[in-house]
Amino acid sequence: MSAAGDMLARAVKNSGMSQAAVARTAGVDSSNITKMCRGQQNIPVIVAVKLEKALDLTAESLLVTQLYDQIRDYREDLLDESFEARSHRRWTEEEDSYLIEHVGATHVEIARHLDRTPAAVAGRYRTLRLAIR
Amino acid sequence: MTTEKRYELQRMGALLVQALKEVGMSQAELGRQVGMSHAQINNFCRGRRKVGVETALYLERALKGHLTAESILISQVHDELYDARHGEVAQ
Repeated sequence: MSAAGDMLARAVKNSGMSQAAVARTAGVDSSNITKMCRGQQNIPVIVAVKLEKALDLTAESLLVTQLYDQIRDYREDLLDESFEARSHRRWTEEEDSYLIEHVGATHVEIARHLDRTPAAVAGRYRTLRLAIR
Repeated sequence: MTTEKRYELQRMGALLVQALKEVGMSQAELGRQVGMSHAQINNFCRGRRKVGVETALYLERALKGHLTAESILISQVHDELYDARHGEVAQ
């Protein structure tokens, strides 16, 4: 569930424009708008600023709502008893492949899929990037 | 860089510095508690480095409720919005 995505989807609907039209007006890719509305992709600050010019919402409200979504997700992880295990378990080749295939997805989504913590996913991406270089 | 810009950059950091004062904790001690270096904490305090969501939660825990993750991150969003609206690329 993503309150920020819902907020964006509502604003697009209320504008009477299609997601593709909003994307054009805001100067962003239409597939990205779709993912943001579904909560599958984070809304970057610069995109929020473009969207507020096209829609009846402010960048502040969108970004702060998104922050609350993220804080809720991370708090759930921090309170979970299996947090330590999910942080430090050894990475498998299958998990690394999944990370490489899903570059661009949020760390929270990937962490959920792999039963990891978002911080562990972020750390593994840093390690993989160093290995690729 | 304008005076206004300097003020904006320091806003999130100023909150952190104030909370450290209230708790009576040094930047080095805070670093130890959240598993970061003194230099990294100092960069947060100076607004030179972004705080991630998870780090904000660790800072909140270490600062014993004197500063919430929400207030750190919302303040940071305002800093980033200032940059975006004034044509500066956030690092």
